[in-house]
Amino acid sequence: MAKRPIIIDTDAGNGFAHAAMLISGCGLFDVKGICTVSGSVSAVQAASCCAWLEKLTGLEAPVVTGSDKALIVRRDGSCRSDSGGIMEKLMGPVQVPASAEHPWDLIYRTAVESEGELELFCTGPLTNIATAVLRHRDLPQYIKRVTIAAGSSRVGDSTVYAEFNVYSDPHAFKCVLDAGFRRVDLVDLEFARTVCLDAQTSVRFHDLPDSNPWKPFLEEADRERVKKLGDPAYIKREGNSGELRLHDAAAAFVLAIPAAVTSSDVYTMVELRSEMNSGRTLFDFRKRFTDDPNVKLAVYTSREMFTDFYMRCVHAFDRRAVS
Amino acid sequence: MNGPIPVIIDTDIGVDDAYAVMLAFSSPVLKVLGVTTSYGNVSADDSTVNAIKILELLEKRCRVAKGEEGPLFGKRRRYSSSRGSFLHGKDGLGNKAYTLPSPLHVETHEDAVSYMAQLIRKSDTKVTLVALGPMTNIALLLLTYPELKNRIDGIAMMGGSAYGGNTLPAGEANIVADPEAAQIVLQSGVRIVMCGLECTEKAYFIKDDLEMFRLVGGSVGRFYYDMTQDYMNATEKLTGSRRAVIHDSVPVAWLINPSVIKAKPCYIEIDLSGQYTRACTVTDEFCIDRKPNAMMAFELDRDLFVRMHIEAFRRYR
Repeated sequence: MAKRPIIIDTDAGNGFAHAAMLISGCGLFDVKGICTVSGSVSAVQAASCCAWLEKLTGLEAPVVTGSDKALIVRRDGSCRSDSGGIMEKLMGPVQVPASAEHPWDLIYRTAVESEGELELFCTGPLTNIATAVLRHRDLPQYIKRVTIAAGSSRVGDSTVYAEFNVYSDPHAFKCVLDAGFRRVDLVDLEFARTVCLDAQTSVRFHDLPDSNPWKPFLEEADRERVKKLGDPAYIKREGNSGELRLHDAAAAFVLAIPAAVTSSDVYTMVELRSEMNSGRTLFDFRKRFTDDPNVKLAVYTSREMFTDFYMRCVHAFDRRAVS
Repeated sequence: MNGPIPVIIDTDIGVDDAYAVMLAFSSPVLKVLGVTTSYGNVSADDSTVNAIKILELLEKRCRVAKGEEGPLFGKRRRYSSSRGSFLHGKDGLGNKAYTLPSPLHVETHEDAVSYMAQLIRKSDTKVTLVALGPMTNIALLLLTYPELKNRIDGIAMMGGSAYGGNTLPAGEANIVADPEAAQIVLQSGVRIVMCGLECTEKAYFIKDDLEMFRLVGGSVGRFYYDMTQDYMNATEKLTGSRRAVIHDSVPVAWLINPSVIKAKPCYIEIDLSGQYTRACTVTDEFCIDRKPNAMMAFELDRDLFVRMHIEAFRRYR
């Protein structure tokens, strides 16, 4: 089966590393490029992280540094606690080859060349994608599907309701929703809260063979997971089950195996004006507006299926050494 | 606490409000001092007539005072919700108000806010307000009689929702009708129990429940059965479920028997500036860096809720 062409757009926090491992490990994708955006870490730092991740995964796609600030809003500092800490700890100095193209131009050119087959996988603020849409108005017609890890239908992680990626650049999120992409799969925090790795699975990272290049990262991820259980604020918000919550990896699962996911077609909005709700995603589940659905919101999948997929991808690297 | 809890019911009386009023008057745990009305499901005028009709059906002597006709801010026009009339019927009582005799007594000359103030002042013990409609009357009471705040034991309100509304994606009808009033009430420092949609949507009756009310409740039960038919049909059209969701009975049921709901302390404020989120009750249920200002009901024991209503109807037989 031909590999599916994708471009990844990411702010490359720790969570993204898990997603990168799944995308590479599952063998389904032909990664045409990785674009970085400011979010969990700066766009430049994200590019370094991605270059390091390429070594681990064996990917050879161009890494392109993208937007360092949101389209319009200016937020003070990062709101996220799980930035790129683990990767920074493990990777050491990394060279990112200079790119002749901006992300928005790379995306458009690749989309045209791929004749409507290109997919976008977005795990950070959507500033690059929005810029691509604003620059190349016909982009949506060349894109087969956009899968986005963003938003929340219940509790947020940046404000009471707002999720970090949307909160960081709500205008970009709106721009992408309004662009007219053929299919937008949205993987929100609520889905990621149900699709996660239980503690027993996470502990198994320590039993991976030393030949697996992901072992140090995954062991560190498990140690971080245990550390979070000592944070009362985290426990209050997320509970004390000790699960490893992986938003970006959940989105990678939706990207890879859409048939395994139950989705709801729903008209989705983002609040831009409110003082207390800026960046909140709203879902018109009760159809109070007449607008047609603009996203497929992932609502359910089997946790066992996700765990099985995740571990199969991890073990795909058991015999690979770091290049 | 010794003796029944003194309460004032503030209502925009539609079908579910009528259940709340019936439940409140049936219970020896509560002493209803007065009923005030407002716009919402129907206009304030219709709401007042409905309240009087229901009290006469229940054979309860209690004064009714008409309240505000529209929200605090914006155009002060007469207001009634189109969604309200779809659900509650044009008359607010499931298109069955005509089957009740015309009121024998008329409303008091006092307005709702002065009437509430008078009742609170006169009461020997602190009074609990039961807010079943838009919170305009209660906000005005708190603004214009600040000295009475410490005579109010708390406010049990039906309104709001933590995670998604009914009138709007983030807005519940009573709050959407007057978000500024709700914000004034939430910021007042008075003890509040918010019975929002997360809880009240579990407070529903099915056909068998209604049959039971008709069986045990005499003429009162028969009227409520008839009144609820169109309400159920309309709910089915909206949601696909053949249920009568009786939101407004929840705060009353809680006052009678607190174990009927589960609630948790939260910090709640109203979004007043959003394009899509105006009137959203922004509910921080974790309160990591701020103190709770209300209790939010999130769970309901439906079996107990139904039993409480059956028991209430029996008392009217």
